[in-house]
Amino acid sequence: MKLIRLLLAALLLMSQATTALAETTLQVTDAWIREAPPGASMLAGYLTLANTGDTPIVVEAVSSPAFAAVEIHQSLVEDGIARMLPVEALTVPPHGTLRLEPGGYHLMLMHPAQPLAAGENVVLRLQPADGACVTVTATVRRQLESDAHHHHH
Amino acid sequence: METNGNPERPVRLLPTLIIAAVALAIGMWAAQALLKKPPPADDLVATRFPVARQLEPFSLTDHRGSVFDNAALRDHWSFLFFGYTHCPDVCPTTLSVLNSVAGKLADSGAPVRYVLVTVDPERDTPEQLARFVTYFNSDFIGVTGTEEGIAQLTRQLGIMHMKVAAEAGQENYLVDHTAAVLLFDPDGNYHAVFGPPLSADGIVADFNTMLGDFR
Repeated sequence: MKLIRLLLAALLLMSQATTALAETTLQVTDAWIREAPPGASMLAGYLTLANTGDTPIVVEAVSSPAFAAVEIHQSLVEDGIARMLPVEALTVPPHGTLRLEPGGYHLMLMHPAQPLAAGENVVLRLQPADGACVTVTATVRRQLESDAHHHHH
Repeated sequence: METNGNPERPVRLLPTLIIAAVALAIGMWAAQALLKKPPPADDLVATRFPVARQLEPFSLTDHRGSVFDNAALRDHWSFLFFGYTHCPDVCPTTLSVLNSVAGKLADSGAPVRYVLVTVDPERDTPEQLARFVTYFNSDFIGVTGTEEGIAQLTRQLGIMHMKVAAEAGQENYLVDHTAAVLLFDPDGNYHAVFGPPLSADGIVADFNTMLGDFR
């Protein structure tokens, strides 16, 4: 009896653990990659992270089958100087959002396996510190500012 | 003591007078400098110089292999931006803004050129620059040169650039650089500077004002 009870308890714990993992509170939307000039080895990716849970979510790593490496970076302008800093992790506050956008946080997508043109889709995998990996499809496109003004194109 | 004190007085007064005179001179000079600096009612997002600054000689190369020196800035307006092609966020954003400016100013009739001067001549060959700048606009110009050649220009303009080694490989180094867009007038002089954050509408409005005020 004791053994069965123990086993049941263990099973219950395990099922709870797996549902906790499966029910991620991290939502990723508006993922896009800026189309790069021909021959560029560095691209930038942007997306919006939303946390529907009660605890902060820390995204430590991002990967993609389309790139040799992905780093999280932040563009900063300090005293008129633009600099890029590698960021250890992205923290999404409880019931909050974090936007990765031009001029701020972005994904540094390095060495594309093949050239990417506007309209193509790329898979990005986000790995929270505790929780299941979240996969999102990012569309390659030209930047908004130039979308509105197709000068010479 | 009192009899000794009186004759000393004028001697003690002298340093005080000198200090007062110096303070007055500094004050007058400062007031003059302060009053001179902002042109009357300059309602611009750009910083316009009261007197456009002449450039010392410099010599670089554009992405077609032509010489890009002081003469290349004359007889038209030029927007200059300092950046590099391995920069995936700030530089493409700035060039997109400048492309938008180019679209809006196309009908103004004023001849305008848009130039990216690299701060990473090691990786930015004329070929690499050609691919990069013409992607944004086929009329854009990419400029490179030797480290010394680029320094001839950046030093006199107060443009900062500094190589930063990425943590892992040396190949992926980053370059911190001044994010401003500089405007040169048809005399080839440094006329105004636009600091970040840059907006196409702000640049266009200011440019039209400065164009109207020029000569």
